[in-house]
Amino acid sequence: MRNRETAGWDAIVVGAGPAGITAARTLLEAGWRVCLLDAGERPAEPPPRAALAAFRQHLGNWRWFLGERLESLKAPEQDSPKLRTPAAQRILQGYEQALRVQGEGFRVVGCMAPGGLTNVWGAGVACFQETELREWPLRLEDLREGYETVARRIGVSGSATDDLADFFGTFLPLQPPLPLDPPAESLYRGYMRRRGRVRAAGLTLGRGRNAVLTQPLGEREACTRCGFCLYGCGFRAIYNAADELEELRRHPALSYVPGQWAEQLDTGPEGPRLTTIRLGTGERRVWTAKAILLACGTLATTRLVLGALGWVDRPVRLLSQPAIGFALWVPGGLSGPCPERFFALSQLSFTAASPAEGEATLAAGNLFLGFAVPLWELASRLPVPPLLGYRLLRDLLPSLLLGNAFLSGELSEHSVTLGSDGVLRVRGCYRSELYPRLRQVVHILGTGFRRAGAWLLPGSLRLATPGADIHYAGTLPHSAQPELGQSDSFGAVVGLPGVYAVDASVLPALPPKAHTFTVMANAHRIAAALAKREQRD
Amino acid sequence: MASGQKDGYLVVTGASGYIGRHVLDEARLRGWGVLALSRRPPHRGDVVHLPYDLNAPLPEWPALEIMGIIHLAYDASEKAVRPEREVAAAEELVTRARELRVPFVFVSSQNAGLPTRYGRVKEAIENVVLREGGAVVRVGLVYGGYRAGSGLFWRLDEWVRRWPVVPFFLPSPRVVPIHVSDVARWLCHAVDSAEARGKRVFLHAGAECSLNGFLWYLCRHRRRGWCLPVPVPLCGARPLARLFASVSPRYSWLAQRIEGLIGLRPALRVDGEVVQVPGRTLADGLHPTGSARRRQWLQQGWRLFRGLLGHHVPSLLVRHYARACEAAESGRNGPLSEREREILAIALLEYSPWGAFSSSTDGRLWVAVLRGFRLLFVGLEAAVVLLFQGLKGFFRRFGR
Repeated sequence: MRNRETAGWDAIVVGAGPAGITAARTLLEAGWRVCLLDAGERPAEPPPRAALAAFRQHLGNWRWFLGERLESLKAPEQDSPKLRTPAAQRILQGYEQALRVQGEGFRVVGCMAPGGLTNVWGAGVACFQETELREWPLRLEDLREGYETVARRIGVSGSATDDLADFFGTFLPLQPPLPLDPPAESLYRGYMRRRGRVRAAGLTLGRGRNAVLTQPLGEREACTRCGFCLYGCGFRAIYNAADELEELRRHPALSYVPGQWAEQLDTGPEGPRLTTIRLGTGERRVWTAKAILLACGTLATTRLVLGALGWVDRPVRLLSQPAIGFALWVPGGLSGPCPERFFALSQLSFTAASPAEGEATLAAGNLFLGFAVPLWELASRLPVPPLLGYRLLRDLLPSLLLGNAFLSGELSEHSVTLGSDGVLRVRGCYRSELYPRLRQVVHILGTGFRRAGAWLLPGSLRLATPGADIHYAGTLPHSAQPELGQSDSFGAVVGLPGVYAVDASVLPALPPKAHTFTVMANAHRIAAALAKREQRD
Repeated sequence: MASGQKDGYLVVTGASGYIGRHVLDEARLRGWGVLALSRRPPHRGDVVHLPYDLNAPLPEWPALEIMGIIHLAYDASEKAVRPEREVAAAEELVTRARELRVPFVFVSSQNAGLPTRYGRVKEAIENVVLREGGAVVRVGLVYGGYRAGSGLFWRLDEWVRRWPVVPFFLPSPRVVPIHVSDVARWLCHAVDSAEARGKRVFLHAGAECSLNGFLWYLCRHRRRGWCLPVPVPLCGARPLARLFASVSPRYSWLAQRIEGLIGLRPALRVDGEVVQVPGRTLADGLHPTGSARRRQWLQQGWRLFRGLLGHHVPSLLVRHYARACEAAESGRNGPLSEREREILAIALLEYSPWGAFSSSTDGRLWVAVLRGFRLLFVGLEAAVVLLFQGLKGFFRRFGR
């Protein structure tokens, strides 16, 4: 039997990830009564408040790092090391079964825990530039307030004056950057010395912009460089929407209902209706409000909308960024110490652009310390036997930087189809243009880093499985003249009055940069516009 | 005295012997009552004991509901009971089984039918049992479990533990080792089902090896060391064993066993229907706990950490490796692959005080020089490995 929930909320926000939390906060600040539904119940367990270097010297702690049943070692090898930690495994498991999604040549990753994918994100912050909003029915000016509000709320650290200031956005309020660790510092020094020659090769280097605090903000503490970043943050210095949810729950106008899996969406004479299933018990509930904001992640949102529109066996475009990983040897860091404290997220960021194509950014990425990733993880990925790999890495690691780079989402040709059997099928495929583009990017990186004093290690470059980047977007794109299956510039889904998509599903394009920050800014913009419009009406 | 049993009582002769004790355990595990017929009281207090000697007539049994008889009693000394009396005792038992209309299972041997006293007696009893519709179960070299009696396995075990040399028989007889618990389980199964009635079956646990191979396993898993193999031609062993037996009666068992071994052919010949028993590996069976995995993990761990550390291996680290292997293999079908084991060892070393980054080094020049040289050598080694891998792949493709 269904329970009908009509407790007089103004809006129902589905999903307590970064977009959902942002939208809910904006609506609450506008005086709305909001019901926040979330599939997850238990937040991810934070790591200890200690230094990684000291903590890992206690022999029994391997269970914490590898899992009681060695889940880390058993996890799929194509996944990023961040997703293979026991803590990540605990919060990521069960998503595919719950969503009934099948990846065909596509790695599906999703999280049902409060905070969504900010539990495992790289905390990279970047604003889209005006040129990157060409396919959007709006201008940078429309997103700017969202960018600034979100940046103030989550706390962003980085340098405002380096060569990547334009790429990341010059208007962000920034906290001071974290100090660089030896190999990154050595590379950055080399870059600054030979800046002209490196930039002529198409490579631009700068400090990373991270949603990591270097100064306390509210109840969150500043980064202590404990090195645990891969496993979360015990000091809450890395932004996690789950931490903000804790703060938001104190708001009297918010009803937070965990454990509700959004199963079905439809519209009736009284407005939009959402049916949820209580995970574990199977209890069904129906929720109604004048506005339902979908923020449960691109795939889950797409499933709900396709089901509501009755779009069965009809493929929908899905964007994701082709990603590569590589290792960089910085000879200048060879005498570097094995640090007691270090920062394990992005130390430096870079862009690769081709001067011949009018400085269009072909790829952008981040550089991390070699120490950021467990040594066994690196040894298992080398093309030589692991024991030999260990001996090699033992001396190489102090001078090693690991990099990832994302290319434009337009190079992907993925599709999502809701089958008549109720299974959501995601087919992964890259466009053929990717491979010449990739060769160009590798050439730029190889030449540029060599000029800056670092060497791209041969054989280390790997193209990730489609979907492994977890930057899914574009299934219900904003459009100036939206058609069925699209959304207008305020996220309203055509054909479903009162339903708004506020997560990455509405991004019309995916430039080669981290998109979470833009998704949050856009969610703020949509929620603010909705509140303003209601006030006016 | 045991209380009444729902399923009835199993009669076991030779209940205080090696196989008998394990049959008692298995029967009690299944919740059956046991009427144990033996000269000595059995090791369990929860069974009904009736003194029984092969030389004496079969005693009257208490009024119990009997569900089957397993006949294991045999005069191991081969002196106390005449062969005719052993056959007659078996006849009495099989007749009693017929009267009670319960299954009768006789445990024979791989050696039955050989021209030795032992082989002749076993064959004669087999014929009596088969005539009366009972089941004859032949077993190979029974090993493992806990010690009882003086069977061949325990004699060999005692030998390899005590002496640094081990005979290397030429030619080596073939044996079919089977764990005593597997034998006990199947005997109880034979009583419970009609599978073997009126048949002669041979229990095969999957492992079949030469006696020399079995002795090598014994050295490795019971002595935990090496024994010097001394070639012993079987034809010359017979007079030698007889000489030993004439010097001291203590060695009479040796003469009998050698006779039995000579009778076994280098290629195993199995009479009757072969029944595959879900068995265990020899390494597992020879371990007192029934599983040698932990010992294997410890040995693997020691080897791996030796390769990684290149010096004294902390035993605590090796023990953690064994625990981690146990955790990794629980819930999965097969053991860890070699590559997975190596990665696990690296991971454990990383999360230990002996890991590569446990001691922080400062940024002096000599550190860079030392690291550079080491990198050069290890890098060259890696290049050679990669070259070989590439060549291997090329020739494999070329071969296709």
